[in-house]
Amino acid sequence: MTKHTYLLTILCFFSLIGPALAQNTLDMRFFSKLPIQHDGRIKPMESFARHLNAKLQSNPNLENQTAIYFIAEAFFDPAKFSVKPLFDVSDSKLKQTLGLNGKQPLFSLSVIIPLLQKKRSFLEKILEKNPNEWNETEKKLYDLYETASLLKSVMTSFQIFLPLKIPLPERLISELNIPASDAETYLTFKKHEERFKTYLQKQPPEQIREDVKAFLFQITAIEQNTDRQNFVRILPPEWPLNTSDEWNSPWILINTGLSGPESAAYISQWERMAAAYRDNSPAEWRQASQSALNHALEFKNIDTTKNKLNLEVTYLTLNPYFFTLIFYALTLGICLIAFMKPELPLSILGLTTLISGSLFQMIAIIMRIIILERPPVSTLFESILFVSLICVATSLIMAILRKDKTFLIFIGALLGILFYYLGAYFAKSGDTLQVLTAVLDTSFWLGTHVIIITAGYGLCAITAMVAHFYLFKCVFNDNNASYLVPLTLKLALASLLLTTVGTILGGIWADQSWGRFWGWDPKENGALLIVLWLIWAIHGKIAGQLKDLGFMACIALLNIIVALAWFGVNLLNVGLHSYGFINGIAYGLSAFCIAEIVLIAVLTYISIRKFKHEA
Amino acid sequence: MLKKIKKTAFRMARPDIMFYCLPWLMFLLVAGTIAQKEIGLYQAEKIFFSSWILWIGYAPLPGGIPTLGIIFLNLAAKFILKSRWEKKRVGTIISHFGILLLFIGAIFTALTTEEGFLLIPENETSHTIYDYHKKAFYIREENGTVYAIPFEDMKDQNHPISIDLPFKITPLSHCINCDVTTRPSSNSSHKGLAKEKQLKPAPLQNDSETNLAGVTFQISHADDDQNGTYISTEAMPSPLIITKDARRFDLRLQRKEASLPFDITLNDFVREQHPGTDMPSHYHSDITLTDGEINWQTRIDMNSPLRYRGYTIFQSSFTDNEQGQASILAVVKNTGWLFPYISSILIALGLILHLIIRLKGRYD
Amino acid sequence: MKLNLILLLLFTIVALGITTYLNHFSRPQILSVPQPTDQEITNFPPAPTFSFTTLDQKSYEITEFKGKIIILNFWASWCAPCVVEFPKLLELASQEPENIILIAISVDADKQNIDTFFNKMGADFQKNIHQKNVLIGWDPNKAISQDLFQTILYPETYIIGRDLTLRRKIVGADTDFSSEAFRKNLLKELH
Repeated sequence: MTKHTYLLTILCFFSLIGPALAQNTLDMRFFSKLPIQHDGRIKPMESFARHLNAKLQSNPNLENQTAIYFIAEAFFDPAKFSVKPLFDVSDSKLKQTLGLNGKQPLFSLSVIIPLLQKKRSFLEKILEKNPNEWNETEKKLYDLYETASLLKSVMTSFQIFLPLKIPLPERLISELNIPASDAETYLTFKKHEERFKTYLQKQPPEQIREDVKAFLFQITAIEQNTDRQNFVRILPPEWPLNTSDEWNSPWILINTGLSGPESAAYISQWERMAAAYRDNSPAEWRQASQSALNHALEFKNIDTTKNKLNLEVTYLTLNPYFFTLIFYALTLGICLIAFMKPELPLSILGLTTLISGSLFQMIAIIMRIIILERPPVSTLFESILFVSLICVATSLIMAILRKDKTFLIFIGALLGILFYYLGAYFAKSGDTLQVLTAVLDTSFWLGTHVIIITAGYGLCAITAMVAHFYLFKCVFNDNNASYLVPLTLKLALASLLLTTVGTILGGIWADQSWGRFWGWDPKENGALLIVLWLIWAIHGKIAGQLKDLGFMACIALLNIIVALAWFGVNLLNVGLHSYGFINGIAYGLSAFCIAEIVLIAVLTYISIRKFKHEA
Repeated sequence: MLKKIKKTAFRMARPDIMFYCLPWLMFLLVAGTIAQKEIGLYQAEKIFFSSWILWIGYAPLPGGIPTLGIIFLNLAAKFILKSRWEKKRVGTIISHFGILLLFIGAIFTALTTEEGFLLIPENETSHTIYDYHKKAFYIREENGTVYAIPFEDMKDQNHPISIDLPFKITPLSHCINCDVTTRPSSNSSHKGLAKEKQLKPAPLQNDSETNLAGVTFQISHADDDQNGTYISTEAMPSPLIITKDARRFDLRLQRKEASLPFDITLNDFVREQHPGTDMPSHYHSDITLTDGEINWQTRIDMNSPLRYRGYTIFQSSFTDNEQGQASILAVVKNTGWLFPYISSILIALGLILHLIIRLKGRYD
Repeated sequence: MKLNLILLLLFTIVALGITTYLNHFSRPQILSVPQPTDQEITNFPPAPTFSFTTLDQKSYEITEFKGKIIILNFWASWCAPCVVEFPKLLELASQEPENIILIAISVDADKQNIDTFFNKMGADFQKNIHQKNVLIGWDPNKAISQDLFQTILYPETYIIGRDLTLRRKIVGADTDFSSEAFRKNLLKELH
């Protein structure tokens, strides 16, 4: 293609669709439940929308709650969507690479895509390199390219039945005897393409007028834009003899001949929604989206996912973690009051709020298990949720069994809140409710291994927390802190039990899967490190090399070991089962480790001096 | 004398040994894990974990094997000499017992494991196991005789390899990972690829399997025009052919081979994907195992290997290209694989008992 | 503590024994590989009901042909593969006058083109096209082909069962409709 046609394509692409209005008043209840196949499973539109939203996470204007409006606009009003400032290009080097001027941080698709087109050869060069060798700007450029292409394919998915921007010239409509209503969209125009082509053939090329040329160009542009874009897979396989589970986007379905009466009917429902959206007619929109949903729920083989669609939308919109957080915060407040005024009988109240919080958390985890049909600890985010629940549950059990209730409830609530924010950090980079790759999926040993080892992390966290409190108590003149030592020892033993068994089970899984029990893989080493640390501290305590204070300091340091084994190994990005690399985690982790070491060292040092002083 | 042994054994059983060994083990573990990012898993394992001596500069420090060995001896001595079966200690003793069995299993595994992989295209039969890491220089005569020279023996020796061949091979140099560069000046003694190219040692790759091994060697006493200096790398598409008095030999550097005592035919390799993605969700190989009278049709699944005659065959990976699909099956011979199963039960049991005893102790 | 030593040795020997036994004497768990079975599909979707007009202005309702195998073909005279395929479809229809109804719906914009095409064809074609079980429809505004069946590439052929259910869709002209094998399979499948 020449430069000229390039530009024309781009211009055409952005001028294809008519004007529109703001539509945030529409009722998205039904639309958000429409099924779509994405990332290997059928999910509700809500989930798909949030996934796309997360891709633009650096843009502060985008909230999860509005994701569904965002996607509706991309589908039904691409012209308006394309001029929305969505992309965060605040990085000055990236700006320079793209040749962007201006101070503003956010740019729209209509600005970004032409710039990316110009950088095509540069992008190709980046793609030839190993992703590990990309520098910061290259990485950002690639991310931008990926997101922009994704959004572009979302925008163009329904172009075939959205109004054409360049109308078929009036005179042709009457001359070719085309019904006026059929001149509106690509698909309806397609019915009369033959007449149009015959007309063109009859004309000498130099006599074809500009408006006809522009119209023709637009049609070619639509076909090119939509040709291979199978991202918005809203149509299930229609033919019973077709055994594939693969859903398709409208254009791919029609263009490969996989379509039929069923998809025709469903697509017309979407057309109706699109029209209602553009007219900004709430009543019609509600009706159209409801009938589209009813239609979708009649699909064959969707019975199994029907309830899951509802459940997933509920999960996403209800956000049970939020309630969890509120209850934990409440518990924390109650505990603080109880510390200050020990005479008040607040422990039962604290227990109740903590239990309520953990119930919400448990519900959230169970919902995830049902939606994803797999163990709840397969991504970093999920493992944080699970560890959090284990911590709270352990502290609850101890609080019920022991006398120092307020203290234990306090620890549980504190850990719950800390993990909530840690989880929120990881969720931001995309809690997309993913399916898993082959080796990681469907294995009894793997399932038990990850659950036990993650539960072990949870116990370690609470054990270390108790040890921290011991150190604090020692420093702040509390002479009866030593009652915490036997408790810590028992907790440490329980942690040892879970981490050891979990680690060995991991080995057994590896043995079952590829024939070697132990491969010195970072994930395995991390788990082993926790086990060794615990063994060392416990034996040191029992055999007498470590005194109470030394033992408790070692157990407090367990936090660092767990953090390294849990998050740190992801930074190494080697081995068979790392969860995946997450940017920025390195800094957070180092800061945490340094802070912990300094804190524990200072507390221990002061305690030693005090003990000496007293003796 | 006996007294001295006894004394040493009792000294060996004391817990302070472990108290000082464990931190060193943890250091090795951390260092070895971090080092993997720089030098890859295979090298890191060799240097830190399965080594006798860890060299830091010129300082010889104990490697993974002696450290683990001392801990094992310490625990074994403690278990045999000092562990009395008392009610209070039952939990501890059982878990120690479990750990000891884990160690014993590890020793058996370390001593007996042989591993490699089979690469079988669909509808083909194979019994050749390729080594993951080791290379060898193979000389195959037309009549089927095979000579294999271990890669290590291909280093500069200044004298011919002593095997019974009608011509002589004198290794000049070898590199585990080679850079193939243009030879600055060549003379008539350089043959084949060596006319234009030469091999220079390059830094090792992180992933040991991506290293390109190569050798430079001299052929003499062969048919006239073939005497000279040659280079050979793993990546060469066809073997080097040397003739002498109408005998014909194929020379090639490749992965070390071993042979299964039975044949495996891949009937079908199936890969399923999560619909609408290219993420594999499941794969398996349908095979026929042929061994004399035996002719078994069976399936090797991701998590259910085939065990036969001491070999365990796992579904490990696959390749997919224009020629079709090929399944990669890992083959492992290991006598220690059962130990971790027993150990994990014993350790779990022991620790639970110990925990119960401790918890009860509070209420006594 | 001799007991401990004995225990250790005993467990080791037993474990090694079991391993050796399992390694050498175990047989594969599945001795015959499960083959995917061709499940009989019964839940075919009903064909949409529609009426069409033939070239000679007669109107038909699809339901009139209940009990026969309907071959619904969308074609156009300007579409080269359709034109190649057309005689084969006619031949198939001529061989099964009792079982098969061929409804060939042209999407030509100009009726003239259809006639021109028909007139060009040979004697066999002329004979076959006038059979009772061959109906040539005309759908210039693509109300049936596109609005109802969402066909935009031609030819596409739908096979509708005797119970008026949609059985399969054949895209493009790669199928040899006139072959013995196709005919037999069709009759077997839609008995």
